[in-house]
Amino acid sequence: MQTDVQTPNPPIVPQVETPATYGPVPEQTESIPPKKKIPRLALVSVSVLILSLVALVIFQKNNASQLSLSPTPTPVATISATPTRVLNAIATQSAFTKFETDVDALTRGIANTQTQNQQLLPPRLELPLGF
Amino acid sequence: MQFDLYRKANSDFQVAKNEYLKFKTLTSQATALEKTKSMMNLRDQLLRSYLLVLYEKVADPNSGLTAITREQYQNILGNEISYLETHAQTIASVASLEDAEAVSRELESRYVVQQTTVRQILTGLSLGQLAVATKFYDALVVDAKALVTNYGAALSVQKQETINRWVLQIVNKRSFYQQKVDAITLQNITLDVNDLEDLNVQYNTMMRGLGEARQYLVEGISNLVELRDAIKYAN
Repeated sequence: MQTDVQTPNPPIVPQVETPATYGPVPEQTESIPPKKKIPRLALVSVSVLILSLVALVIFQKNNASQLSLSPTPTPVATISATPTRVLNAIATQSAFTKFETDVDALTRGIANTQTQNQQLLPPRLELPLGF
Repeated sequence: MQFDLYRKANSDFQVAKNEYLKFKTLTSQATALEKTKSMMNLRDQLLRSYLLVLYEKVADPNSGLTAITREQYQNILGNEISYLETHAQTIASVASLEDAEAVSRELESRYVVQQTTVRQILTGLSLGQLAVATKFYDALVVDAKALVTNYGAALSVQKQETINRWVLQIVNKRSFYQQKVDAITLQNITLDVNDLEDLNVQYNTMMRGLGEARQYLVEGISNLVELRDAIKYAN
């Protein structure tokens, strides 16, 4: 017996494509342990450490070479070429020696002369009582 | 020492005054009067001590002041010292804060004129110090000229010309110095101020001018050293 009753459409189920597998299906006798991944941070740390060590070695080598290259300071006797000044005949005259002494005295005197003596400034007073 | 005493007394006075102005009690009034009198006494003493020190400085024969100026300054200072002695005696008779105000005002009215005189004397003393150096400077210029006149023939013509030129420059420095000093002396004599602030401004201007005058003298003396070496050595 046939019936004309329409059966409702089955619900549309989204189909997920499963990757196609080719070839024979491997026998799953033993599970192979996954490869241990080294953390990226550890790799970076090790690289930095190595680089630092290399830099340190290079730096030390450079320093050592520089130290060995720098010459040891040795006192060198330099003969300063101080021109010998020839005295005029006038330099021995008593008038000149007195003049010379007086110029020195005035040079010292003006150095000690101050135009303003801070210690002599008047004290600051507050005058109006303000009652 | 004297200033420390005054500062302490002034600080106590300020505290007592503020207490009195705040509470207006008889006790705070009595304390204020006591502290006011104490402060006024020490203020007069401090001022008097200062003027005495200044008097001694003026009396110093090496101050570089002329006899007339010295006497003039001593008279002015003597008058101020006497005034302060009299003023201090009136403080003893102060019996109220109103009295204290009146006695204080006597000093206040005199203070600007007194301080103007003090600054004039200080400027005079500074001018005196420079005058001492100038006296030596002038004597050395005379000596240098005499040396060149008496012994110049032994020097080369070229050197003689150089020395004569240098002497001229040394004399010029002295002229610049004198111009400065004259201007400051005039300003000092005619010093006229409105208040203490104005006094400070004018005094500082005079001190700056004196510094510049001194610099001319320093440069002239430095030239004298060069001149001395030029005369002394043949090369």
